[in-house]
Amino acid sequence: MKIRFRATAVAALAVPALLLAGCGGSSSSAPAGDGSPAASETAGGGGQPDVNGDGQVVIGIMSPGDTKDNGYYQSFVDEANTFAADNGWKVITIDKINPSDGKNQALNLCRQKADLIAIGASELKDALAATTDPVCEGVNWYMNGGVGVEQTKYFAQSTENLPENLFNTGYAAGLAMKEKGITKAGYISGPEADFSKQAAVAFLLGIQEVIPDATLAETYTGDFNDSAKAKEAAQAQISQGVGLIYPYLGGATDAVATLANENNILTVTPGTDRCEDPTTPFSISSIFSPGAYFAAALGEFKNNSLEMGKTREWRVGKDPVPSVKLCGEFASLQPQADEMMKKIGDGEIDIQSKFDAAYKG
Amino acid sequence: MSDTATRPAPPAPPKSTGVAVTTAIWWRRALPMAALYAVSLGIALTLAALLVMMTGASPWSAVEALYEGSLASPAAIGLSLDKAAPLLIVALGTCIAARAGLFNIGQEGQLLIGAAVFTTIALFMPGPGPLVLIVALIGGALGGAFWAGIAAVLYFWRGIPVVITTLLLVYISAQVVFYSVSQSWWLQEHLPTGGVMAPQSDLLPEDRWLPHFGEYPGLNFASTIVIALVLTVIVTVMLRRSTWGFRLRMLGMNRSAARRAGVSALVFGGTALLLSGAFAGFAGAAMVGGGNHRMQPGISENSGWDGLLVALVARENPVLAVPVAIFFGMLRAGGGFLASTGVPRYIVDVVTAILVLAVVFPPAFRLYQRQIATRRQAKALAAATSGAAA
Repeated sequence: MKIRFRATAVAALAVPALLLAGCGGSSSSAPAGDGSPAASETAGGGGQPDVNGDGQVVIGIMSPGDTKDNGYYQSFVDEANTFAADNGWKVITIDKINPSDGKNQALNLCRQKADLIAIGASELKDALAATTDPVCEGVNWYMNGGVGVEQTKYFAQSTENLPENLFNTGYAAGLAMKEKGITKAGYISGPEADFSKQAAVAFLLGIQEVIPDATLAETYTGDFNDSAKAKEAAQAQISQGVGLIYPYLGGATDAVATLANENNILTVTPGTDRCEDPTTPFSISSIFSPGAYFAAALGEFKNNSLEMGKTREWRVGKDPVPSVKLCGEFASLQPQADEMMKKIGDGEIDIQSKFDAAYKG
Repeated sequence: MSDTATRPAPPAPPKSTGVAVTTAIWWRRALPMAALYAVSLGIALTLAALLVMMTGASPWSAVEALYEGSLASPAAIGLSLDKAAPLLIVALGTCIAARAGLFNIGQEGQLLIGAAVFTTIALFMPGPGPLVLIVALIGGALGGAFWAGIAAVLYFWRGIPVVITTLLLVYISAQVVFYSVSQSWWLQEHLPTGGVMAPQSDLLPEDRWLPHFGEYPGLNFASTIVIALVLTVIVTVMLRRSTWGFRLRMLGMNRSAARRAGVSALVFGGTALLLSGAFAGFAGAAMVGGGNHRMQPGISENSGWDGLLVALVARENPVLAVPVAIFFGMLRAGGGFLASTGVPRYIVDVVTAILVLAVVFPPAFRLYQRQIATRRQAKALAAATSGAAA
């Protein structure tokens, strides 16, 4: 019995190992050149975009979230795919990366001869440890830091001001709520992380700029992508009488928005413009899509002008994004929202002080 | 006795014939199992190939990527070993509990708690690095043991099944760990410039990392695998050659007989469960100290669950757990590399899961066959008995 089991176990291990070992004739995993315009322009290498000069521009994308979430993470990939398709580049996307596996995945992308590795969110900042690894020598890096990662000479970064963005979103939500006579809003997010809590505080501050006595019900489900938990939270908030829900979520966003629509509750997008979305309409689009920042970086990369070691901060009222858009019946309120964005851009409102007082006490 | 004595003894078969018969029996039993494995893996590989083809990628390239990521280079082999080490440690603990007849399935939670305790000690305890490292590793093991101990207390005090408590404690541990990395007074990282803090700890000082052998792109791996192999030897010897191991097996095979022989279920069973948790906790500690160097809620990457699976596939045999853990480590390393070739992550997860199922299926199928045969025999016996009574 023991011998038989040993034999079966050995067979179980040996067969796949042999299958794997038997097909290792070629170790080349580099994509073949496609003769794309960009590639042929820079053949010989050295400059962007074909940094390694292998005749093909390869963009590696690393995302901690689901890149089919119809929102924040997807926008990052969608922009890259569109840009790459227009320029004959190849995009390799690895999503749902565990932060603890970030460096390994970055090394894997280097081994795939990526010219630019783009990291979708600051959760994966440990992947930047691969920038100094010999296998990644010469690779260009882009970090969508969101709220910022300590800058080094090895990567370019885009950042945004979270309190400013969320205050702006809250202000637009406040305008819509006032129009409808609503004083209670809901906020649903995933893990009760620092940035999720900061977002809630800034969002409420923005609403209170319009409706001083407005309140916000906060629920943290522990998971940005768990639709069942998010719907449960939304249902509970609807029962509490909220008139607007902000699903600050990933893959679970649409589940909440659909439920809210069924109950005539206003909704806000977490990052992308979905005013014209035919399936899941939103009342307000809060646009801080990482894809927009990335598209700008890709444009620079194409023109050999994306500087490593530089941070670009995207500011409300100064740049096209972050921004906010009131949809449908609320479109008439857009001028007021625009005015607020201009004030923020001009520094007429000290959001940081308000936020610090509210968040840090 | 007298009957036997009066009967002429049957002629003893020649020795060589006996060996030949034994070998023939062995082959007769082993061949169907080998065939079952071949069919199982064949189906799994076909399914995996179809899935990969559906994404527009080449199945051959996928196999090549799995190989490249796990075996093709010294660095890939090192990564496979790094991925295998925590699985093996978890599996060793599982083997101990299983020998005592206790089914601990909460290794995932015990691993997380061990990792959190390790990080806490490694970050806050003053003193020379190596000493802190050793204390932190022991602390991690004790953390895992404590978490398993909750289940042990509930089982021996109130009879609550270990399977249920250890499973439910996994979910609590995940919340505890997330809480720990979200609190600035505990493990949450501190940023010098303020801003938003991620739910993770600070990086450990370098003198509190487990030693690492070799340099990329050569063969390089954390010392965790060496520790895991040493633990394998110790556990094997203890289970097979010590009185403690014998009593543990006795307890696992027949609790009543063990009790009559003076083997206390509370002492031996409780110790086995605590040890099982300690191994999982130690695995978590080694994952932080040997690879990640900071605590993150997702640090486990299901190593607790996979370690349990390793033990099950190895039939709770510590020696067999070594190759099984390495196979699982290869799948993990290869899967990561496969994802970097553009095959969607969810397909990679499904492909690796299918391969794991292919390995788990044959023993499970044989067990099912045996159960069916036993039931048939029991039915036949019952029918014969009732017929005779009638």
